[in-house]
Amino acid sequence: MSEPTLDAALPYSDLLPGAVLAVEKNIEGESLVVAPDQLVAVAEQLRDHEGFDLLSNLTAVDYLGFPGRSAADRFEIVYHFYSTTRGGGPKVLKARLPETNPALPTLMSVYPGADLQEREAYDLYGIRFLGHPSLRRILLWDGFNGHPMRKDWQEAYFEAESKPFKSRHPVGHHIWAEDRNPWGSNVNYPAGFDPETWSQPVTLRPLERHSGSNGVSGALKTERIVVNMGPQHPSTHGVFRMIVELDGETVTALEPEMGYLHRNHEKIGERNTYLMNMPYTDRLDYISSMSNNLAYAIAVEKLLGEAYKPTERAEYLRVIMAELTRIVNHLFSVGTFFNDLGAFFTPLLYAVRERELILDLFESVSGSRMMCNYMRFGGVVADLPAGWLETCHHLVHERLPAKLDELERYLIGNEIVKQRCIGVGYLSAADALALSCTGPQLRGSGVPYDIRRAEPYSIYDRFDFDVVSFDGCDVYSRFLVRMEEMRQSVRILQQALKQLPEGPIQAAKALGAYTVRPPVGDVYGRIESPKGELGFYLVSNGAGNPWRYRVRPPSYINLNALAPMVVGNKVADAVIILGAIDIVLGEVDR
Amino acid sequence: MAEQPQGAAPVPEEVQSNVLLTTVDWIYNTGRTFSLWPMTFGLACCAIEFIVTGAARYDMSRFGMEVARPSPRQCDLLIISGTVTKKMVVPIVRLYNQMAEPRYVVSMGACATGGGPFKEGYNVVSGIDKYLPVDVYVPGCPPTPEALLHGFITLQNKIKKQSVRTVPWYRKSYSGAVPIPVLGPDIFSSRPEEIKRVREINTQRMMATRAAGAPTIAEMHILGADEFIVIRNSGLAQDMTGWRLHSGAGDQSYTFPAGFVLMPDAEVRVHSGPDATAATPSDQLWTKRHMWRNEGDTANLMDADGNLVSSFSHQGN
Repeated sequence: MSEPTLDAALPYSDLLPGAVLAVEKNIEGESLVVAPDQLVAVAEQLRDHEGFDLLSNLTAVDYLGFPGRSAADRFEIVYHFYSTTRGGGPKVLKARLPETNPALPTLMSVYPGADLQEREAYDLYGIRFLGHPSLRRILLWDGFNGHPMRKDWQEAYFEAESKPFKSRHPVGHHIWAEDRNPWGSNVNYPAGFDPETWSQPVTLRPLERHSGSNGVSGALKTERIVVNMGPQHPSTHGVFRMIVELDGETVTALEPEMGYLHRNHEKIGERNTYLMNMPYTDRLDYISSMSNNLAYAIAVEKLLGEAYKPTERAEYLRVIMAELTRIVNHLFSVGTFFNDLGAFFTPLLYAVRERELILDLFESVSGSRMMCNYMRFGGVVADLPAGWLETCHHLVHERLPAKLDELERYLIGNEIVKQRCIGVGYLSAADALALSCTGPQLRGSGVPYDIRRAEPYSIYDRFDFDVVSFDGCDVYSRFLVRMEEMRQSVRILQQALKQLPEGPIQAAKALGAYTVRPPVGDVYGRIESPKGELGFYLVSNGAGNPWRYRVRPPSYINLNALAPMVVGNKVADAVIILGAIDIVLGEVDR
Repeated sequence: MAEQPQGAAPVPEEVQSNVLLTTVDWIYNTGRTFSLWPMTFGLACCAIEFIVTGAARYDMSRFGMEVARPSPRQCDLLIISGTVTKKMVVPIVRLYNQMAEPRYVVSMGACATGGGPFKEGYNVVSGIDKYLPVDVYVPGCPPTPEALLHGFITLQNKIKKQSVRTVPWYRKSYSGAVPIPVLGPDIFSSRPEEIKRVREINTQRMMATRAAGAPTIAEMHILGADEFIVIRNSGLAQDMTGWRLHSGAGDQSYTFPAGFVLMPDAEVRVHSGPDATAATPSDQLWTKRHMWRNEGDTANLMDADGNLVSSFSHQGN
């Protein structure tokens, strides 16, 4: 964090006097420190007059004990806005809040997509967003003790602030975490807790009424019933839970409930060194681990600077792996989508067959089928083994195109698929943007926004490919986007394999650099992952482990649109609408 | 062919050569071994490998366990395929209780077995075997489909060795139901012995903090005509006979009267100044003169042996 420049001509000093308190120069550019009470006005200005129509990332940072910070500005809320029409870099706003009673106005009136991210910041940091319609815990349960991402909150197995722990490195006489904990397991009760007299706090869960009909659908008199779907439900793609209110078979309200796979990725990430986080990113969106690696590597390389710029060959290898991952993800997504439609397992069997061939490639290059842990800062970890390129060449030029033709022949023109999908789960382009949707969800609503084109990272500016978008705004369009994106990925792969140069696979400085210590600063790195915009917001205090390690999970934020899309449809459609968002719970809950 | 017992139904000639004699155990175990129905239930990354194990390349139906069912009532096999979080263990235990016996549990992967890479997380259960009886552990992160198949075959071999006479679920006393944990400020078990243990540890911890506590100077109000110092006891009851309160600037001391006891969490106020009074038992009157310097002063609390127990500074006006 460099010193704020005290410039007389602060931005918006004429339009909104006093709104911008300072301009902070940073590694990437600049960010505006905004007065919390003027935040909504600045956001309106950004959206209405400067074209920043996408609130991409919203997160909180706890600066307790950070050099240059005091109790008066302990918390910071960071907003990243992007323009989907112009492309390019972000507009960054920051609002600083005191230690006692941190609160600021919600941005939901300007960007409704702030909903889930604000609830997360409330849950993990205890920051209140005034005016938020249902500011409740989202990842943890009501009654949980404290706000775990705060720096002064320690988990039950806490050993030290940062790794490597002295007990294990370099000598390694560690004590079991269970033995260090007074309770003998991973729990921590507040003083005076009595299990017998404890009772769950009662929280109101309002199932908002989105439609006006009142118990009468057509000639039939129906009763409203509330149905619970999940966390164990075959259609929810993992441990996701929906509470739906039905009028007959029509959904009148929906409340998503998550956190059943909240495995504290970000808290563990702050204890880890930068490199230790790489295998953890694999387990975010566990279907497309290579993409997660890439996003994290790009974010850390931005922090580290030019010396860690990947070599040419590494850049190509990264693109090849990322695009293979996109195909893997979309195959799996399309397959499970047909499961949800009722074509139980057969389309998935077809889809998974080619996925296996790609996983073989991943395994031979990285050693693991799913959790590849392949990228490093400044390159990749291993070069291609003998025969890899030939296999990949055959796959990309012959097998995959033929396979995609086959899938399209079976699935796209199918009468039943069309009947079930067209017009279901309508989400207009304006709504998709307002709800912060990205990826196939946004492109299925006719907004051709792809970060590979809008703000090219790595070497994507060298390849010839089309940004796929369909403007049906329904489940069918999202499905078509995925099918067509696989073709575009094959196109990129064909070019990348042809151009792949020889040379080193890691930048000279990065060789053997296990513990990197980036300079003080914060950075947001993002890529177009198969599910949408995957970003990492990192704050460094100059140490070997990140001060703040935030994942901007695309499928979590795409869930903003779930309730608006489902309400009014049949309950069976709720299943396919959720399937078309393509969530992975490892990333949703982290 | 043996003599027919008296009164037995005659066995037709053509059937006699088709009858096989075996034990109940063998027929029973063979039936269950090759009709393990796993639950369609995925937790995390491992669930993907489980799906793939059922798909074309690995095809677990070859081994007689193809029929995955989403309802626990129809399943024999619960595969814990991923990280078990505190929030999720409650439904998992419920699902297990809903399964009909005989039921088996496979712990798939590092997370389900012991917390795995996420063990240190505040919302992670360090292994499903803290809650459910596990039959087979499959290592890996995630285990490859081959490893999972090996785990299934291990389970089948285990089932083949069981006997209806020794398995627990036919015993009269057996209920098999696992108590469902409760989400409080942190997860806790509803077992009576667990509750007792939590209480005991809690009391011990409170006693320990209590024993480490002592009377300390908590507040100084030295600017008015009734100036007073608040001493609060965070420890056990303390006999303060001979204890002294010392003013740093004026070098004056107030000695507590003999037999004065400060109870836990109680406080005592030592008054001085022209308006000073001692109205209640927890007020002590030092003197009617001003004792503290308004420009800033330090109060020290000494025990009967003259050791400094607590110190507090006031910045003054």
